Amino acid sequence: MVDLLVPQTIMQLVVVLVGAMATCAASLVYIGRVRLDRPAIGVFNGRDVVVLFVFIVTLPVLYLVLPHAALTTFLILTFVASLSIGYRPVVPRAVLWLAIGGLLGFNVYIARTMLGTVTGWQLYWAETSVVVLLGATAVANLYVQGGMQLRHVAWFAFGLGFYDVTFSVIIPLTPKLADAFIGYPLDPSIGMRVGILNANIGIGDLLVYSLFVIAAYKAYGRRAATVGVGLVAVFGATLPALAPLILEAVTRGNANAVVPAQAFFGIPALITYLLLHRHYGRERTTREFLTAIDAKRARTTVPVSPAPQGSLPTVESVPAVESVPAVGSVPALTAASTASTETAATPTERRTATSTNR
Amino acid sequence: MFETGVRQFRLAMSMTWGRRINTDVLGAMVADALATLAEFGEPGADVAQLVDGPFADPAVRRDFTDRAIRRTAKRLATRSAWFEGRFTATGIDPAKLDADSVRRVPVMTKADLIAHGRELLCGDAPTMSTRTTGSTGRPAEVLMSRYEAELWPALAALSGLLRDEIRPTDVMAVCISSRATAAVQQNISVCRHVGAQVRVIGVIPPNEALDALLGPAGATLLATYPSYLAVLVTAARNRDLGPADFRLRRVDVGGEVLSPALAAAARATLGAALVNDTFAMTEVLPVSGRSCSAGHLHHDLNTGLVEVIALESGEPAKPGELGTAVITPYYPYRECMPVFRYDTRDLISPIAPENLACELAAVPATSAILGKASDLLVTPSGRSLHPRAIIEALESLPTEPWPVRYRAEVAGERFVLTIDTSTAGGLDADGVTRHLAERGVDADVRVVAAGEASTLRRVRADLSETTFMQPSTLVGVGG
Repeated sequence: MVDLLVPQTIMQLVVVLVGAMATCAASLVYIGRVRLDRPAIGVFNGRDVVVLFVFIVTLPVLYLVLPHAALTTFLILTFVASLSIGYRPVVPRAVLWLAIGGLLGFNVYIARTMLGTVTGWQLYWAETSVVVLLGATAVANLYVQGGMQLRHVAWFAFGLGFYDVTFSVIIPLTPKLADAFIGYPLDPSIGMRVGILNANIGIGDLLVYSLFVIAAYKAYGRRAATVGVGLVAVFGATLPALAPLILEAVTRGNANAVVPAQAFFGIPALITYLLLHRHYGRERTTREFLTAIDAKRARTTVPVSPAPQGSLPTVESVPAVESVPAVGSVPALTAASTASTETAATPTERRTATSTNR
Repeated sequence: MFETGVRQFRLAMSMTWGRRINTDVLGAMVADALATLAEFGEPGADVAQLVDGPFADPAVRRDFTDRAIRRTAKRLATRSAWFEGRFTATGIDPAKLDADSVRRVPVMTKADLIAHGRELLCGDAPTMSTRTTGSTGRPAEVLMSRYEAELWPALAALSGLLRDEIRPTDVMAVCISSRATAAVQQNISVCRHVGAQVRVIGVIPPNEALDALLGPAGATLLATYPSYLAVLVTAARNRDLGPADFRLRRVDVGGEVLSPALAAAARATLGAALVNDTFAMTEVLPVSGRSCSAGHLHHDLNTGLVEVIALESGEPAKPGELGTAVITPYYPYRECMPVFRYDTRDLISPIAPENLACELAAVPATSAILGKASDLLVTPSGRSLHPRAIIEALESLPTEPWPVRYRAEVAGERFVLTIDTSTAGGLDADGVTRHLAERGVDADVRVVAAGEASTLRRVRADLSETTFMQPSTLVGVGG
């Protein structure tokens, strides 16, 4: 067991670190440059955290009882919603739909035809990882740009810690869920396979990490975001990845492990939030954050000295990405339409971190 | 955010299916809007569609209108014998009405409202009685249910917040007659929803009202009549007050004609960036209208049907033709004591949609209110002159005679305007006539002594309420 567990753990550590850091970095870049449309009225609040929690608790059960075709359809719809909402501001509409169709279609194709070889698995994981990274980045930004605060994220992660322990160790729902995705299209994880070693991290964990980092950035700025990245690296990636070496409760068989990552991350996240709040005070509103971003952008793009009129092109600040009508826009007071489609972008599952040896 | 989505869905369902609106849900949406503004500083995308409705598409507009008319008419016919009799007498099936056939239903007049008020009751038990100010004759009583008293301000607060017409930091001064209880109650409730301060001042001596508007804690919003605004502007000028003494950002006026000269003076003296000419009327609440930067009046299509009926033919007025506004508030916005095709006698003129290029072009518009039909002058040959033309021309006189007082008559084929010497100033009758002619008003002018002014036009500023602030004029009272 030790022979396999050590290389598997190293593999897991690399995959989880790379996945978590890449998602956090992408989310930070996104929030610094892209403005998502939001509904006419509505702010993410504490009750939304509860709603999210209820989704997270109930959806995995649904996944387990759904036939695989239905599960795949559900995953496709979820990724289409998150990618279309998240990338409409940056990609022309026609290109966007082609890209989404291509990405998801290719994923289904690989999963159905190419998983008989290691190379096929590697291609599958690479492609899936891109989809998941893009999806997690979009959803994290949708929430944080929708008003989600660091306070919400911290308590959310704290609650998920208990959930993870309960449904990984006490009631083994999460391992069953992890198994349910193996070898099927759109496994909602970032992962990779090398030889017989297979490691991945679920989109739920990635979402929580990127939420924490960009919410810290929005609330308190760059330094707080750096603290958040460090927290994710240590408590969100490294410790959960190394856990199978010391915690037998998270291993299954020779080197198979499903680690409740939020059990490691939740409490430090809450403590970090409390410390940041004590140090910096009130969180910035989205308006204050955007104003600061715009001011910074203006400072960095103003010419050092005034140029003679007409001699040089005017240096302008980087324009915010064009906004487009949101899919998630609210219904008219007078129109019969459905509620915000942001519910479709709810993290449809929160498969816990580190399943191995698929 | 998820909750807000659910609330919007519930509200949309109520509006679409014509069911009573849950005022608690609406109140929560106002709170949602406040939270949104606190977090983001402004509403999100599609706010215009949220508050104005999807009426840019004529087909959608027509379908919505037809369904709302039928829904309202059916309810009235089943709940009020008076309305049932009205539909029956004309052989009209309320369930088959639409925006075209509704014209077969005779218009309601103020006399109907006064004579049959209690017979019109259709909904919850009334909890509040409000009366028109009686500026156009005998006051009419309008009864409101608790539902309406909660619904109308919540709707107004939501749209006001989303349009940035009111903010939680605002202080609203209400300088309208205390007898206009519906309007006063509406303003107070809107401020309560939004968390803004409200000062109900009334139509009191202008210097006392100015004291309530002045200073760093002064009002930021003012709701009043054009004539009382004129009184305030004049009083402020007499006290050498200027924009720096006020922090008004918006003045909303209604109930009378607002002239461009007075609006400009109010902006210059009181410092309000916007002097907004609105339309609202106790009898047809909650249907209202708002003016755009081009001076059009855009009616709220969500809450009621606004027809413009030609004065002579009774048929829909054509663009440019003079008509009277006939308004039907829809259920579920009006339920206690509704009116159906109520003839406001307010003169307006339709504007062809293709001629609209303003910021509210998606919403059908008419001219601003041109005055009351009873004040329209028509010569035997059919030439007409409406009060707005007269007021705008006279209030632009060098004497700045705000609010202008005049008497208008027809003598043969000529219009004759009578003003007093304080209005004419240094101009004689010919001078005033030329001034009017330059502004498109072809009328003869008589100038009378100031002592005869009591026979001239009366304005809402005359609905004055006394206070004890000024020394008593009574002789022999006290010690």
